[in-house]
Amino acid sequence: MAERRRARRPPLLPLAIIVAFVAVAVLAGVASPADPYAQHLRSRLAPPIWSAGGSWQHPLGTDRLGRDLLSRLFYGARVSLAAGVVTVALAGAVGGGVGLVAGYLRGRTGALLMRVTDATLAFPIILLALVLAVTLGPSFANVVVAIAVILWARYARVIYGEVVALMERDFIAQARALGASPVRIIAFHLFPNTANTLVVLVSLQVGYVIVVEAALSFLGAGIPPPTPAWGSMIAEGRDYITSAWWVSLFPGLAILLVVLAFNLMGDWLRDVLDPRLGQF
Amino acid sequence: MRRSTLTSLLVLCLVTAAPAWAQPSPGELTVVLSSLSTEALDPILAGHIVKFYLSLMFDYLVGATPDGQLSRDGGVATRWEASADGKRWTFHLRRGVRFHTGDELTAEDVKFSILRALGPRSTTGYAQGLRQLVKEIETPAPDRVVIVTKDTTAMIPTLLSRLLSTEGMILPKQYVEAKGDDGFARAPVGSGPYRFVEQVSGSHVRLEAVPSHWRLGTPKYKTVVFKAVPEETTRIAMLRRGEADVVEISRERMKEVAGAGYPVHLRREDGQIEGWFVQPWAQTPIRDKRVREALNLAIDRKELAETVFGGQASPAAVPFGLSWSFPEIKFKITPEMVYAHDPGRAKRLLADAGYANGFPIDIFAFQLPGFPEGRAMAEAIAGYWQHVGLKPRLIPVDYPAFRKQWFDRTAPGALGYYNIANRDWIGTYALIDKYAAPSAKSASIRDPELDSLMDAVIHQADREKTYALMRSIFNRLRSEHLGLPLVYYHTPYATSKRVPRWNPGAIMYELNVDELLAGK
Repeated sequence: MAERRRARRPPLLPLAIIVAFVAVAVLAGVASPADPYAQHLRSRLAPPIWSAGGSWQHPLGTDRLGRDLLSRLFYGARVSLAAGVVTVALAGAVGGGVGLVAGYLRGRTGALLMRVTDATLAFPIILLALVLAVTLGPSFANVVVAIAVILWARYARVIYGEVVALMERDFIAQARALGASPVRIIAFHLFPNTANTLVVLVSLQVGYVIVVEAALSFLGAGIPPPTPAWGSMIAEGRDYITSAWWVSLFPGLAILLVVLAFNLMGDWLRDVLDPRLGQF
Repeated sequence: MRRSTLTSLLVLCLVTAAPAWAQPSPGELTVVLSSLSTEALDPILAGHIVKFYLSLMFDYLVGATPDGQLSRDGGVATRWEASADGKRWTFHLRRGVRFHTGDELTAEDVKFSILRALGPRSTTGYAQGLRQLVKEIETPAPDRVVIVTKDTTAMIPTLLSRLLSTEGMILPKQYVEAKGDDGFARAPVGSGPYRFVEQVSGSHVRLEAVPSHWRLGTPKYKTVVFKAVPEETTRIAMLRRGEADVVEISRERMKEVAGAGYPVHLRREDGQIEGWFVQPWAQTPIRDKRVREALNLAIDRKELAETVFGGQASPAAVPFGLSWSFPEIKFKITPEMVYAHDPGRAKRLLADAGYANGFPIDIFAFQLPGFPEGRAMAEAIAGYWQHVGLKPRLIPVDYPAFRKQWFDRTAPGALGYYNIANRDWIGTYALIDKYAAPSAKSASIRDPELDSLMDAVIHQADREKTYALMRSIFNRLRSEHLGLPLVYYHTPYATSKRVPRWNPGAIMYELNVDELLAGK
């Protein structure tokens, strides 16, 4: 019993990182020590405070245009959080909906929806994002669309599996016998019973979306400059990696910490919410 | 044998074996650049920007010295003269020059090559200007070519020389006719000191020396390889590992490379970073001269030169004012021509023009070979313009994507830029014509007075009057703010320790590799 309680205790460090990440993103305007867009070319590539030549004016140093790196990291967190939340919400809503409908209907319609899902899963996100960036130009909206257009299929596939199993349960048969409509069954019987799975998926996918958004920005197909985005910040520092390592390192570290924290939280949520684990 | 002895032997083998694979062959010179640009092998297919390897495969009608003067020693023509009316140019050809096929180079090959460069397939830099000038080409003897022009002109020798583009490169008529254009473009043959061996697209071009050549004698290196390596860190690593002899480096990393003990060679004022606004201007704020001046005044060129360009650049003042053209035409940049960094005046000019609250302006952000600072510079310009109240929108693209929008005129008023190679006044005139001629796809300037000055130059036979017209052209470009002159830049190249001395020369799109290869 004590071990189970310990397992259900939330992981404090990942939780703290996520809270800090969200706080920094929300309060970037207040917390940033400088304007993240203000360039000071004479102060370009200034080192962090603890290196020789560093100053409190720019605690983490400056980038190639002399912009404050800490402020850009804070504003970059806003972009990553927004991309993560909006994309996952969009993909979760669409994918969850498709999974619920396909699992309830099954038959030809369900099979067709699942084949579309399989085909979507086979399409590489990066390629789609590059196509969108070339045709429509890189933008935040295009990044969200490019990731969500592929990501929904993961939700659809998992939720479909859950719903197929639920459809064999007695309470669904009873609801049908009492004349409940398909919409009612899906909304009030199937959805609540798949919500836990959806929450676990969402928590695991936020980290994934942050990594994909960073990769797209790194490739120039994501958030266009001068908007600070962690991926494009890494790309900007690539040419200075031997002389001004901090330009790439800090955004890279931020991505590592946040993604790791979301993944650990997702694992914990899965452990807590999975009813099969509760039987032991 | 004991384990420690075995380990020592293994380490010894590895240490001694490493240089064997790392070092290039002693008979091979490896030039590593950020890009091989169009990678064309046919001189008429945008060959001017790949002159650095084509000029080893082909000879020019008129040669040039490394410091940018016409030369009777470096080309197929040993001398040339104009008729009294300046409409017939006779070129006397060097005897005994042979193509790599073994055929002798004759006047027919010269005529064929020039006509081909002027043909409809040609995309070279100065084909359009030559088409307007050349009336016909005569071949009175195998070693004599006469170019007849429609108007009096002094430009013919320069236009067909190594100083400018590739229109003056001589091709073997028989071979090209036998192979066809496509066959020639895949397996080109010239008469230069090196013959074509192979091309791997996106990777390298390999050339092999002919046994003896009139230009270079017996070349020092049996093969020359031009490699494209986009990542600078990789290029520098290749230099450190001994896999490269000549490496293009950025201005920012000069100190680091020189500090590691590698010779760094500068091409001084190698070119000008020039910005221009995509046509048509009619519906954009750019049509207003005050706006164009404000956009210029908002930029701190000194700061750009000292920071983004690592101190290896100096402020430019005249749109399309390439500095190697100034001495001959006696043009001087006066202190008042240099744009001051004056955001206050820029704001006032914008307000006077009715844009007190600014306006949105697109800036295409891209990098180019020899210009790794491209994106950083575009972002810096956006910062300067934002500071005076404009609403710049950065559009990161690859250069070909921008070029399409520029040529299709689908981004009116947007800023584009290029690192324009420095050149003499005739080359500069032809360049301005590319940007100003209303019919040119690349037209980015619209000014009727400039058009009339340009027209007057081509019909002027008197040299001093031509120079005066060129000075007026530069003054007009500056007074009307018909562009965004940014900086003159120096280009650094690092060499391996086996290439301690080298003058990269002062010829556009060339590296004077001849000096490294010459055996005589």
